[in-house]
Order: sequence, then structure tokens, then C-alpha cells
Amino acid sequence: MSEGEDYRVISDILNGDSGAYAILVRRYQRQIFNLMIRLTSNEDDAMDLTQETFIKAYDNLERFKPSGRFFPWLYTIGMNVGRDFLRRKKTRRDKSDEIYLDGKSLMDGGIQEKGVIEKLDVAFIQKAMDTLPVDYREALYLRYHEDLPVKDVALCLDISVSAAKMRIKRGLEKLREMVAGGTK
Amino acid sequence: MKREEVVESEFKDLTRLIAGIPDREPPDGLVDAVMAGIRPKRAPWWRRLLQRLYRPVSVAPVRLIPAGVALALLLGLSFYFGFSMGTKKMAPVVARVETPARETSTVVFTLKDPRASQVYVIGSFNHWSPKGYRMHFDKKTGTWVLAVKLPEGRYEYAFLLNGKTIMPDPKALIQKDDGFGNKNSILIVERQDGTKTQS
Repeated sequence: MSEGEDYRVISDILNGDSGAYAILVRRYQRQIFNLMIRLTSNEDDAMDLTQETFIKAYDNLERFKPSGRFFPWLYTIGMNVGRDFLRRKKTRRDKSDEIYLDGKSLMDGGIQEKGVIEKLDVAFIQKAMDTLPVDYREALYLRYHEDLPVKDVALCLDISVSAAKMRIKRGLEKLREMVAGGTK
Repeated sequence: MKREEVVESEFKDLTRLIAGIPDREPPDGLVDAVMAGIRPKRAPWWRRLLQRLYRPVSVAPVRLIPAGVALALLLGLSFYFGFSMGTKKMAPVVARVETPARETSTVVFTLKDPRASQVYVIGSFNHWSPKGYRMHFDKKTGTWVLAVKLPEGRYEYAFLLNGKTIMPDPKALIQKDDGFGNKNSILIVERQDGTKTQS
């Protein structure tokens, strides 16, 4: 969806047509809901946090810069809402310091043979992705699942383009180490 | 195969697998829940002022009556005093205000897309807001249909599919670039009775 269309809708909302916000919610609810599912692993929490993200974005819509893109801006809000929730709940889903906690078990029973990653199924990769630290995981999701350019990944994660490139590269390396048993 | 090539090939496989991870569908009530939690925004004064300056405003003729009467009175008084005080004569001016009822025509929007689960018509006539403009699906013809009463004029519109995709009307004779790389369809409603389908 083009940024022009998003901005046209935002302009209508700022001019008093609040109903137009439903277009943006429908357009991006899948991405934000799935982000929250990844962060919380709980559908009810994900629903609440998705709602909170969209309402927060609406309340701050005046601060959205017309030159920017709505989705990365919304995603950044979503990440903050998700992180706040995890902090509050002191959940262990955010495994920033536990990179290989589950990865090792995956690796132990994983594939040791070279060139067999292509034979893996999506479910296995999803499991492996769940064990990656949030920052790496989201960089990979945004780049390869949402097919965003690196500069938008950087905007979503509120980091520089070079940091985003590095995160994607390191994320892939970590994932490969997990699923291929660290064949170096 | 060199080690670097193996790693590169494995990265490619991984990215392909990541792309294929299925998404969970958001719950049905999510949009309604969000919309219930927001309040309409009031544009700041400077934005309202700019809007008034730059947007063409359509005024119903009936609203011009008081202004017309005031103008006629003012001109009448100016003429009277100008004449009686011996100043330069002014030509009499008659302000005439017509108040015809604004005619509307029924426009039937149709879109043949049996795969869509939900279709709205959005356009300049509803300020690009889908609320109240949901199309109905005709199972017999596999077509989405919505009849809308519109006053004469030129409108831009598009279809909103599944709440995500905006597409122009494939049947419209005129399409216009919206300036952002997308196209809108153009509808011209002429003053007439009866039913008119989109152009």
C-alpha cells in the first residue's frame, strides 16, 4: 500500500473524519497482531496490545510527519507497547539475553548435514525464529516476511540503516547456527 | 561448492522459509474494538482556516437567500442615498437568488470479484470513508453491488477490498492518476432522473 494512500487517509482523519481510521486499522491489523502474538504468545494479550497500539497511534497522529511512512511509525509504537507490556509482566518471552536457551535444544536435535536447510519445513523455522532475541527476530520478519526494504526495517526498529543491515545479517547467522547445528 | 557458496545458499533457503511462515488472522472484532476506543479529532484552527481557503465549498442555493437579501438591501440603500445626496448615479442592481431543489441520481456501483470477502466504495462523495458504503454481494452474478444517490457533479472513487486493497473500477471509462502513483476512477453524474451506472 502506498504512503500516498496512507497520508490521504491520515489527512482526512486530522480533518475530523475519524471513521477513515478503520481503513488504516484494517490495512495493518494483521502485521501488528502477529507482532504481538510473537511477543506474548497469547491471543488475548495480543488483541489488547494491538488495540492499544492503534489507539496510541491515533492519539498521536498529529505528530506523524507527512514526509514519513505510516507503517514503520505504527510498528515502532507497537514495539514500544509490546516491550512495556513485557516489562510489566516480567515475562520471559523477550529473550534478549537468552539467545541460545531454546536454540541449543533445537540445535542438539537439529540438522548436522550441510545443504539440508532447504529440506526444513516452515514450522521448524518458526520454532527457531521464536527462540531468537526479539531484535534479531523482528529484523528478519520485517525484511523477509513483510518484504520491507532495509531502510524501512531501520525505521520500524528505530535504528540506523547500517545497524539494521547488521541485525539482519547477524539474525540470519544465528538462525543458521541453530537449525544447521552451527556448521562453520 | 565453496563454503561461502554453501552459506549463501543456506541463507537463501532460510529467507524463503521465513517468507512462508503463516500469519495468524486477527480476531473479527479488532477493528470495531479500536474504533470504539477513539474520538473524532477536531482540526486545529489554522488547519480549518487553510481548508476553507483552499477547498472549493459547495453551498446550497437556499443558504444564499439571507446574503442575497442583505446584498439587495445594501445596494438599494446605496442607490437611494447616492441618488438623494446628489452623488454619482448608480445603476439599479437586482440580486436574484434561485433556490432549486438539489436533484440526485441513483448510481449503481458494481464490481465483479467473487474472491473478495468485503468490498466498500470510497470516493470524494464520502470523503474516502467506507462507513455506510459497504457493497452487497449478489451470489447469482458473483458481483458486488451498491446503489448510491448522488447530486450532479464529478466524483473520484475507488473500491476498498477486504479492508486492505484499494483498486480503481476496472469498468470505468475514465481513470485519473491521484498524484501518488495510484489511479482513481472518475464518475460524472449528470442532472437526470432515473438510474445511472458508474462511467
